[in-house]
Amino acid sequence: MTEVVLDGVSKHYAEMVAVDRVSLRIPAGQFVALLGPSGCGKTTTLRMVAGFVDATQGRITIGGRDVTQLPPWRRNTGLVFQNYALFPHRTVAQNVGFGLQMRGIPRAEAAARVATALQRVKLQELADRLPKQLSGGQQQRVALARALVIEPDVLLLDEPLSNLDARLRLEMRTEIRALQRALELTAIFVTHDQEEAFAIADIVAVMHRGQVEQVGTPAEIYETPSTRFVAEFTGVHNLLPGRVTAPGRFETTDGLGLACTASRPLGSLLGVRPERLALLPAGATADNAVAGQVVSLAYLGAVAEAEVQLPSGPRLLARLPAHQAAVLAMGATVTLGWPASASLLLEDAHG
Amino acid sequence: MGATNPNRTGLLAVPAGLFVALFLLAPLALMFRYSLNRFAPGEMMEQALTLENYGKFLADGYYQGVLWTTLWTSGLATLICLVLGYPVAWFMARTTAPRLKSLLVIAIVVPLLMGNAVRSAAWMVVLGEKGMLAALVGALGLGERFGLLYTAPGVVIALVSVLLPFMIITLQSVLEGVSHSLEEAAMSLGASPRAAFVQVVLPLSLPGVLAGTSLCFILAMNAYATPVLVGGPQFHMMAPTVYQQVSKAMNWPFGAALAFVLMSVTLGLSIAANLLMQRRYRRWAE
Repeated sequence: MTEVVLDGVSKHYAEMVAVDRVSLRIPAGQFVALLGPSGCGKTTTLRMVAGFVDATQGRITIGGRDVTQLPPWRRNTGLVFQNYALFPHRTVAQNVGFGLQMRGIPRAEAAARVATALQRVKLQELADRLPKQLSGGQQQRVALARALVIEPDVLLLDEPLSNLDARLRLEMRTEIRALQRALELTAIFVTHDQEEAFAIADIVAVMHRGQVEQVGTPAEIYETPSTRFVAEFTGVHNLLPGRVTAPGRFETTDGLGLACTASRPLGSLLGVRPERLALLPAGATADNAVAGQVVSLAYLGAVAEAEVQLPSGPRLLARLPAHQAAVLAMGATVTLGWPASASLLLEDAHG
Repeated sequence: MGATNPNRTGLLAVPAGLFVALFLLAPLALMFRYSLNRFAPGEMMEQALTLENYGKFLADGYYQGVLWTTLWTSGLATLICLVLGYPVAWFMARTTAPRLKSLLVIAIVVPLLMGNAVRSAAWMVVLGEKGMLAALVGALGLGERFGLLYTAPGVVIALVSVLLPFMIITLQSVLEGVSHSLEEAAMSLGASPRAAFVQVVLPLSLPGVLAGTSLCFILAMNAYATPVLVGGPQFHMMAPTVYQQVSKAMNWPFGAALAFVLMSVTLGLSIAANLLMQRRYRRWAE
């Protein structure tokens, strides 16, 4: 159980700032996901913790030990790569035993620990296979066992699921999570997939342009995104510019009066998630109700997406249960409603 | 028409196969037949079925000495190529500066555009008693009339310069295939860069080491221009000796026998090295 702290960590390259003053405290035994689009600095941040990228500024401590100046091989981190990076000339057992061999663990003890690690990832029967004789999912398990067997202070996972098919991805993320819990490991997980981050992590740090935009539990990030970027990245499609005119009142620039929660901080954008919009039957009321014309319909299976053109100008995207959307037709006039609590107030500024 | 029929695509190999059969295997067979004939001064040879040419090679210490010289010169030159070439190939495979890399590739390939004879002649100028090397040694006050021309070290140096590009290019292509993330994985597991190299990169590059050393060794064993020009009249390697027998002594049967000894030794050593390597790394190197 080890706490990991990043304190004002930056990475500058000749012409760009890849990571900009990132500060993040990861409590011992917590699973943190660094979430963001490609190029946001999440992988560079992870590689700085692993020691493969030197921090230009700032300090990184693992369990109170300042590792900022330590080379990767003295940091005791367990790193799992996107492409697994298994040694092709070593068997599964030899791959898993590599870290123990480097640490000079006696042969008998190493063999026992390798066996335990392989058992944990349910690969004990494949100990003598070569990596190329394994499926992608099995290779990922070997990579995981190899990182876990050295009892790392922190487990680092660099998009470990992105090379797997959808079903395996679900299975592996559940397994990774279960192992991390069982071993009470501190873990950092890099991903661009919001659902994956939310499903696996205790804490999500959303990164954008080298900075951490917001840190919080998945629910906090989802319910109360603090910036426009976080809102958009986590699926807030509908953003209406305007201003707060009174507590609980927001007026859009094109004159639409909308209800929001009075306690929310001020903002110049009002965001609504497509899934919070509902089709209002005639006569029904809601905190917010706007009428418009259906301009596009997309059937996605469980849900359908309808784009509704409001007379005042903006379009709203609504994600509706498919059976409700079935009655909609292109060009039909519909009323969309949402509760005041679904109105998210955001600052427009880009960090 | 079944252009994609696998049985028919085999036909595509026929022209090259015929060429090899006609112009390589046939002369080889003919040479082997010659090596069993008997030398007859004045009339090239007389038909026979005798092993006496091979017997002469085994009985005559001079020719065994030539083979031995050829072997250690080639072995040493190959070893030096490996030691000098590996770091360069490694650097080329790992550099992230694309311009530097293409520059290096050009620098390594350009010498190949010049024939061996031309380069060996240039080495004569460098290594001679009045050459550039002697001038340099003289200027540094390390000695006078320091020449390596017509010496074994001179031949080895010239051979290395001829063979090094082959070694580097071969090693580089294999090292390119050893992903950098493997080294990172090793280091994250506690391996120092040195341990990561020894445990991961080196074993994975062995197929390249084998290919590069085989190539250089075979080329060195059969070198002609370099031993003749840089080695001079006193330094004898196999290929010039074969030529000497065939063209000067007009002893075709013995020249042919020498050629087959050279070929068998070279082939035998190359196959042995391959088998040794394959036995060790059979499972993943295939």
